[in-house]
Amino acid sequence: MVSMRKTLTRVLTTLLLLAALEASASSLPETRNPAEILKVSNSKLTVVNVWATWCIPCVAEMDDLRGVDAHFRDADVRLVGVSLDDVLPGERSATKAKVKTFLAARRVTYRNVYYTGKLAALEDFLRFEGGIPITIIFDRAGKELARTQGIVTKAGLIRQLEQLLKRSR
Amino acid sequence: MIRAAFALFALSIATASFAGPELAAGDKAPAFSLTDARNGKPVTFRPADGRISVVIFTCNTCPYSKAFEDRIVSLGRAYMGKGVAFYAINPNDDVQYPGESMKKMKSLSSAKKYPFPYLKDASSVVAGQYGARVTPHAFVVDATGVIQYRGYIDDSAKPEEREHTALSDALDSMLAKRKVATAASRAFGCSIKWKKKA
Repeated sequence: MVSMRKTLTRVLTTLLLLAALEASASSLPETRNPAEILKVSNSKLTVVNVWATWCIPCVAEMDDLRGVDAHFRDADVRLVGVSLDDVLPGERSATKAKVKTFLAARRVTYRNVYYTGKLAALEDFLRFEGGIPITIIFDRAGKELARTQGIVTKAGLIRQLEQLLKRSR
Repeated sequence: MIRAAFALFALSIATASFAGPELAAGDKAPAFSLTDARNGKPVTFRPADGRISVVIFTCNTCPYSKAFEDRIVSLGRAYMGKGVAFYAINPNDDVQYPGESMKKMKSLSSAKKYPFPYLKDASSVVAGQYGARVTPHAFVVDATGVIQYRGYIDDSAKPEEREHTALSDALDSMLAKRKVATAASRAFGCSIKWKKKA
Protein backbone atom coordinates (compact mmCIF):
# COMPACT_ATOMS: atom_id res chain seq x y z
CA MET A 1 0.00 0.00 0.00
CA VAL A 2 2.80 2.37 1.01
CA SER A 3 4.88 1.50 -2.04
CA MET A 4 1.84 2.03 -4.29
CA ARG A 5 1.33 5.49 -2.79
CA LYS A 6 5.03 6.23 -3.33
CA THR A 7 4.81 5.15 -6.95
CA LEU A 8 1.69 7.25 -7.48
CA THR A 9 3.41 10.28 -5.92
CA ARG A 10 6.41 9.77 -8.19
CA VAL A 11 4.22 9.51 -11.27
CA LEU A 12 2.26 12.62 -10.30
CA THR A 13 5.46 14.58 -9.60
CA THR A 14 6.87 13.56 -12.98
CA LEU A 15 3.63 14.55 -14.72
CA LEU A 16 3.59 17.91 -12.97
CA LEU A 17 7.22 18.49 -13.88
CA LEU A 18 6.55 17.59 -17.49
CA ALA A 19 3.55 19.93 -17.57
CA ALA A 20 5.63 22.75 -16.11
CA LEU A 21 8.36 22.05 -18.62
CA GLU A 22 5.90 22.05 -21.49
CA ALA A 23 4.35 25.33 -20.30
CA SER A 24 7.73 26.95 -19.76
CA ALA A 25 9.16 25.96 -23.11
CA SER A 26 6.06 26.75 -25.16
CA SER A 27 5.37 30.15 -23.62
CA LEU A 28 8.25 32.45 -24.22
CA PRO A 29 6.70 35.91 -24.13
CA GLU A 30 8.43 38.63 -26.09
CA THR A 31 9.02 42.11 -24.80
CA ARG A 32 10.99 45.09 -26.01
CA ASN A 33 10.14 47.08 -22.89
CA PRO A 34 12.50 46.25 -20.01
CA ALA A 35 9.92 47.37 -17.42
CA GLU A 36 7.63 44.55 -18.60
CA ILE A 37 10.09 41.98 -17.32
CA LEU A 38 9.22 42.58 -13.69
CA LYS A 39 5.51 42.38 -14.47
CA VAL A 40 5.95 38.67 -15.22
CA SER A 41 6.11 38.11 -11.48
CA ASN A 42 4.10 39.40 -8.54
CA SER A 43 6.02 37.44 -5.96
CA LYS A 44 7.59 38.70 -2.76
CA LEU A 45 10.97 38.11 -4.37
CA THR A 46 11.71 38.05 -8.09
CA VAL A 47 15.04 36.80 -9.35
CA VAL A 48 15.89 38.18 -12.79
CA ASN A 49 18.63 36.29 -14.58
CA VAL A 50 19.92 37.77 -17.85
CA TRP A 51 21.42 35.14 -20.14
CA ALA A 52 21.89 33.96 -23.72
CA THR A 53 22.41 30.60 -25.38
CA TRP A 54 25.82 31.76 -26.66
CA CYS A 55 27.00 32.79 -23.19
CA ILE A 56 28.99 29.87 -21.78
CA PRO A 57 28.88 30.90 -18.08
CA CYS A 58 25.14 31.58 -18.40
CA VAL A 59 24.56 28.06 -19.64
CA ALA A 60 26.86 26.68 -16.94
CA GLU A 61 24.73 28.15 -14.14
CA MET A 62 21.40 27.04 -15.55
CA ASP A 63 21.22 23.75 -13.66
CA ASP A 64 21.83 25.65 -10.43
CA LEU A 65 19.06 28.11 -11.27
CA ARG A 66 16.75 25.20 -12.00
CA GLY A 67 17.64 23.82 -8.57
CA VAL A 68 16.87 27.16 -6.94
CA ASP A 69 13.52 27.29 -8.73
CA ALA A 70 12.66 23.80 -7.52
CA HIS A 71 13.72 24.67 -3.96
CA PHE A 72 11.37 27.66 -3.82
CA ARG A 73 8.50 26.08 -5.74
CA ASP A 74 6.12 26.52 -2.79
CA ALA A 75 7.54 29.85 -1.65
CA ASP A 76 6.77 33.39 -2.73
CA VAL A 77 9.82 33.50 -4.97
CA ARG A 78 9.90 33.52 -8.75
CA LEU A 79 12.76 33.20 -11.18
CA VAL A 80 12.56 35.02 -14.50
CA GLY A 81 15.14 34.38 -17.19
CA VAL A 82 15.69 37.11 -19.77
CA SER A 83 17.12 35.81 -23.03
CA LEU A 84 19.40 38.24 -24.85
CA ASP A 85 19.67 36.05 -27.93
CA ASP A 86 17.70 38.52 -30.01
CA VAL A 87 20.21 41.37 -29.65
CA LEU A 88 22.55 39.69 -32.11
CA PRO A 89 21.91 39.48 -35.86
CA GLY A 90 19.58 36.69 -36.91
CA GLU A 91 16.03 36.03 -37.99
CA ARG A 92 13.82 36.55 -34.93
CA SER A 93 11.49 33.59 -35.27
CA ALA A 94 14.36 31.19 -35.90
CA THR A 95 16.36 32.54 -32.95
CA LYS A 96 13.34 32.39 -30.69
CA ALA A 97 12.63 28.82 -31.75
CA LYS A 98 16.24 27.96 -30.93
CA VAL A 99 15.87 29.47 -27.46
CA LYS A 100 12.66 27.51 -26.85
CA THR A 101 14.32 24.26 -27.90
CA PHE A 102 17.29 25.10 -25.73
CA LEU A 103 15.10 25.72 -22.67
CA ALA A 104 13.18 22.50 -23.23
CA ALA A 105 16.38 20.49 -23.65
CA ARG A 106 17.75 21.97 -20.43
CA ARG A 107 14.44 21.24 -18.66
CA VAL A 108 14.14 24.82 -17.53
CA THR A 109 10.86 25.22 -15.67
CA TYR A 110 11.17 28.82 -14.53
CA ARG A 111 9.66 31.61 -16.57
CA ASN A 112 11.64 33.14 -19.39
CA VAL A 113 11.18 36.29 -21.41
CA TYR A 114 12.50 36.79 -24.93
CA TYR A 115 13.88 40.33 -24.96
CA THR A 116 13.57 42.09 -28.31
CA GLY A 117 14.49 45.64 -27.33
CA LYS A 118 17.79 47.47 -27.45
CA LEU A 119 20.48 46.19 -25.16
CA ALA A 120 21.26 49.74 -23.99
CA ALA A 121 17.65 50.12 -22.75
CA LEU A 122 17.90 46.92 -20.73
CA GLU A 123 21.29 47.99 -19.37
CA ASP A 124 19.81 51.32 -18.27
CA PHE A 125 16.80 49.65 -16.66
CA LEU A 126 18.77 47.00 -14.80
CA ARG A 127 21.80 49.26 -14.31
CA PHE A 128 24.39 46.82 -15.60
CA GLU A 129 27.20 47.10 -18.09
CA GLY A 130 26.26 44.41 -20.55
CA GLY A 131 28.27 41.57 -19.09
CA ILE A 132 26.23 38.41 -18.58
CA PRO A 133 25.22 36.41 -16.71
CA ILE A 134 23.82 38.83 -14.21
CA THR A 135 21.27 37.91 -11.55
CA ILE A 136 19.28 40.57 -9.72
CA ILE A 137 16.80 40.07 -6.89
CA PHE A 138 13.84 42.46 -6.64
CA ASP A 139 11.10 42.83 -4.06
CA ARG A 140 7.42 43.03 -4.97
CA ALA A 141 7.65 46.80 -5.40
CA GLY A 142 10.44 46.39 -7.95
CA LYS A 143 13.16 47.57 -5.58
CA GLU A 144 16.50 45.91 -6.11
CA LEU A 145 17.68 43.93 -3.08
CA ALA A 146 20.82 42.21 -4.35
CA ARG A 147 22.76 41.40 -7.50
CA THR A 148 25.43 38.99 -8.66
CA GLN A 149 27.52 39.75 -11.71
CA GLY A 150 28.81 36.41 -12.96
CA ILE A 151 27.88 32.84 -12.15
CA VAL A 152 25.58 32.08 -9.22
CA THR A 153 25.53 28.78 -7.37
CA LYS A 154 22.47 26.94 -6.16
CA ALA A 155 23.61 26.93 -2.53
CA GLY A 156 24.66 30.57 -2.58
CA LEU A 157 21.48 31.86 -4.20
CA ILE A 158 19.23 29.75 -1.94
CA ARG A 159 21.02 31.10 1.12
CA GLN A 160 20.70 34.66 -0.13
CA LEU A 161 16.99 34.28 -0.94
CA GLU A 162 16.23 32.63 2.39
CA GLN A 163 17.90 35.50 4.21
CA LEU A 164 15.92 38.02 2.17
CA LEU A 165 12.68 36.13 2.82
CA LYS A 166 13.42 36.09 6.55
CA ARG A 167 14.14 39.81 6.54
CA SER A 168 10.90 40.58 4.75
CA ARG A 169 8.71 38.66 7.23
CA MET B 1 65.01 48.76 -0.67
CA ILE B 2 65.37 46.99 -3.99
CA ARG B 3 62.69 44.52 -2.91
CA ALA B 4 60.35 47.38 -1.95
CA ALA B 5 60.94 49.09 -5.28
CA PHE B 6 60.29 45.82 -7.12
CA ALA B 7 57.10 45.26 -5.10
CA LEU B 8 55.91 48.75 -5.99
CA PHE B 9 56.70 48.15 -9.65
CA ALA B 10 54.88 44.80 -9.58
CA LEU B 11 51.89 46.45 -7.93
CA SER B 12 51.80 49.20 -10.54
CA ILE B 13 51.82 46.57 -13.31
CA ALA B 14 49.09 44.58 -11.61
CA THR B 15 46.81 47.49 -10.86
CA ALA B 16 47.37 49.00 -14.28
CA SER B 17 45.51 46.02 -15.71
CA PHE B 18 42.17 47.23 -14.38
CA ALA B 19 39.78 49.74 -15.78
CA GLY B 20 40.11 53.32 -14.82
CA PRO B 21 37.24 55.74 -15.32
CA GLU B 22 35.78 55.68 -18.80
CA LEU B 23 37.29 58.61 -20.69
CA ALA B 24 34.79 61.11 -22.04
CA ALA B 25 34.57 63.90 -24.56
CA GLY B 26 37.07 66.58 -23.64
CA ASP B 27 39.60 64.17 -22.11
CA LYS B 28 43.06 63.75 -23.61
CA ALA B 29 43.50 60.42 -25.37
CA PRO B 30 46.35 58.30 -24.00
CA ALA B 31 49.14 57.34 -26.40
CA PHE B 32 50.02 53.69 -26.90
CA SER B 33 52.42 51.44 -28.70
CA LEU B 34 51.23 47.90 -29.32
CA THR B 35 51.97 44.98 -31.63
CA ASP B 36 49.94 44.56 -34.79
CA ALA B 37 48.76 40.96 -35.05
CA ARG B 38 48.68 41.22 -38.84
CA ASN B 39 52.47 41.44 -39.18
CA GLY B 40 53.99 41.41 -35.70
CA LYS B 41 55.19 45.00 -36.05
CA PRO B 42 54.77 47.69 -33.41
CA VAL B 43 52.24 50.43 -34.05
CA THR B 44 52.34 53.68 -32.14
CA PHE B 45 49.43 56.04 -31.68
CA ARG B 46 50.52 59.54 -30.81
CA PRO B 47 47.46 61.67 -30.14
CA ALA B 48 47.53 65.18 -31.56
CA ASP B 49 49.20 63.88 -34.70
CA GLY B 50 46.95 66.07 -36.81
CA ARG B 51 44.57 63.24 -37.77
CA ILE B 52 41.19 62.18 -36.54
CA SER B 53 41.60 58.74 -35.01
CA VAL B 54 39.23 55.96 -34.02
CA VAL B 55 40.27 53.57 -31.26
CA ILE B 56 38.02 50.53 -30.97
CA PHE B 57 38.44 47.92 -28.27
CA THR B 58 37.22 44.67 -29.75
CA CYS B 59 38.17 41.01 -29.73
CA ASN B 60 37.99 37.65 -31.50
CA THR B 61 35.35 35.75 -29.58
CA CYS B 62 32.71 38.07 -28.11
CA PRO B 63 29.44 37.61 -30.02
CA TYR B 64 28.88 41.39 -30.05
CA SER B 65 32.34 42.03 -31.48
CA LYS B 66 31.71 39.37 -34.09
CA ALA B 67 28.37 40.93 -34.92
CA PHE B 68 30.09 44.28 -35.48
CA GLU B 69 33.17 42.91 -37.31
CA ASP B 70 32.00 43.62 -40.84
CA ARG B 71 30.65 46.99 -39.77
CA ILE B 72 34.01 47.99 -38.24
CA VAL B 73 35.83 46.90 -41.39
CA SER B 74 33.46 48.82 -43.66
CA LEU B 75 33.68 51.92 -41.46
CA GLY B 76 37.46 51.61 -41.54
CA ARG B 77 37.51 51.36 -45.33
CA ALA B 78 35.12 54.29 -45.73
CA TYR B 79 36.79 56.69 -43.30
CA MET B 80 40.44 55.76 -43.78
CA GLY B 81 39.89 56.98 -47.33
CA LYS B 82 38.97 60.34 -45.79
CA GLY B 83 42.16 60.51 -43.75
CA VAL B 84 40.87 59.02 -40.50
CA ALA B 85 43.17 56.58 -38.68
CA PHE B 86 41.67 53.39 -37.24
CA TYR B 87 43.13 51.24 -34.47
CA ALA B 88 41.41 48.04 -33.35
CA ILE B 89 42.70 46.84 -29.99
CA ASN B 90 42.15 43.44 -28.42
CA PRO B 91 42.45 43.91 -24.63
CA ASN B 92 41.44 40.41 -23.54
CA ASP B 93 43.74 38.16 -21.57
CA ASP B 94 44.80 35.35 -23.85
CA VAL B 95 46.15 33.22 -21.00
CA GLN B 96 42.69 32.67 -19.56
CA TYR B 97 41.08 32.95 -23.00
CA PRO B 98 43.25 31.31 -25.68
CA GLY B 99 40.78 32.35 -28.36
CA GLU B 100 42.14 35.88 -27.94
CA SER B 101 45.73 34.95 -28.82
CA MET B 102 47.83 36.88 -31.28
CA LYS B 103 47.74 33.88 -33.63
CA LYS B 104 43.93 33.87 -33.64
CA MET B 105 43.93 37.64 -34.09
CA LYS B 106 46.14 37.25 -37.14
CA SER B 107 43.79 34.64 -38.64
CA LEU B 108 40.75 36.83 -38.00
CA SER B 109 42.28 40.00 -39.37
CA SER B 110 43.45 38.11 -42.43
CA ALA B 111 40.08 36.42 -43.02
CA LYS B 112 38.21 39.71 -42.61
CA LYS B 113 40.86 41.70 -44.49
CA TYR B 114 41.33 44.29 -41.76
CA PRO B 115 42.52 47.49 -43.44
CA PHE B 116 43.70 48.84 -40.07
CA PRO B 117 46.04 47.53 -37.36
CA TYR B 118 44.64 44.87 -35.03
CA LEU B 119 46.66 45.43 -31.88
CA LYS B 120 47.22 43.20 -28.87
CA ASP B 121 46.90 44.94 -25.52
CA ALA B 122 48.35 41.90 -23.79
CA SER B 123 48.26 43.30 -20.26
CA SER B 124 44.98 45.21 -20.79
CA VAL B 125 46.82 48.39 -19.78
CA VAL B 126 45.62 50.53 -22.67
CA ALA B 127 42.01 49.42 -22.10
CA GLY B 128 42.46 50.43 -18.47
CA GLN B 129 43.78 53.85 -19.43
CA TYR B 130 40.83 54.51 -21.73
CA GLY B 131 38.40 53.07 -19.22
CA ALA B 132 37.03 50.70 -21.82
CA ARG B 133 34.50 48.34 -20.26
CA VAL B 134 33.30 46.11 -23.02
CA THR B 135 34.05 44.88 -26.52
CA PRO B 136 33.28 46.64 -28.78
CA HIS B 137 33.86 50.05 -27.23
CA ALA B 138 34.77 53.00 -29.46
CA PHE B 139 36.62 56.27 -28.85
CA VAL B 140 37.01 59.03 -31.44
CA VAL B 141 39.95 61.37 -31.01
CA ASP B 142 40.32 64.67 -32.82
CA ALA B 143 43.43 66.01 -34.50
CA THR B 144 44.54 67.71 -31.28
CA GLY B 145 44.37 64.49 -29.26
CA VAL B 146 41.09 65.22 -27.49
CA ILE B 147 38.30 62.63 -27.30
CA GLN B 148 35.15 63.81 -29.06
CA TYR B 149 33.02 60.67 -28.83
CA ARG B 150 32.96 57.48 -26.83
CA GLY B 151 30.50 54.63 -26.64
CA TYR B 152 28.88 52.21 -29.06
CA ILE B 153 29.46 51.95 -32.78
CA ASP B 154 25.74 51.76 -33.56
CA ASP B 155 22.87 51.40 -31.12
CA SER B 156 22.08 47.88 -32.32
CA ALA B 157 24.13 44.90 -33.40
CA LYS B 158 21.30 44.11 -35.82
CA PRO B 159 21.79 46.27 -38.92
CA GLU B 160 18.05 46.36 -39.65
CA GLU B 161 17.32 47.77 -36.17
CA ARG B 162 19.98 50.44 -36.20
CA GLU B 163 18.55 53.86 -35.31
CA HIS B 164 21.65 55.69 -34.16
CA THR B 165 24.91 55.29 -36.05
CA ALA B 166 26.84 57.18 -33.41
CA LEU B 167 30.41 56.48 -34.50
CA SER B 168 29.93 57.41 -38.17
CA ASP B 169 27.78 60.41 -37.15
CA ALA B 170 30.62 61.66 -34.94
CA LEU B 171 33.15 61.19 -37.73
CA ASP B 172 30.94 62.94 -40.28
CA SER B 173 30.53 65.89 -37.93
CA MET B 174 34.23 66.14 -37.21
CA LEU B 175 35.18 65.88 -40.87
CA ALA B 176 32.68 68.66 -41.61
CA LYS B 177 34.16 70.72 -38.73
CA ARG B 178 30.85 70.56 -36.88
CA LYS B 179 30.32 69.86 -33.19
CA VAL B 180 29.61 66.21 -32.45
CA ALA B 181 25.93 66.06 -31.50
CA THR B 182 26.14 62.93 -29.36
CA ALA B 183 29.45 62.83 -27.54
CA ALA B 184 28.70 59.80 -25.40
CA SER B 185 26.63 56.65 -25.49
CA ARG B 186 26.57 53.53 -23.40
CA ALA B 187 28.79 50.95 -25.07
CA PHE B 188 27.35 47.46 -24.97
CA GLY B 189 29.00 44.12 -25.45
CA CYS B 190 31.04 41.57 -23.55
CA SER B 191 32.95 42.51 -20.44
CA ILE B 192 36.67 42.89 -21.06
CA LYS B 193 38.57 39.82 -19.87
CA TRP B 194 41.13 41.64 -17.75
CA LYS B 195 44.55 40.23 -17.26
CA LYS B 196 44.55 38.64 -13.81
CA LYS B 197 46.46 40.35 -11.03
CA ALA B 198 50.10 39.32 -10.98
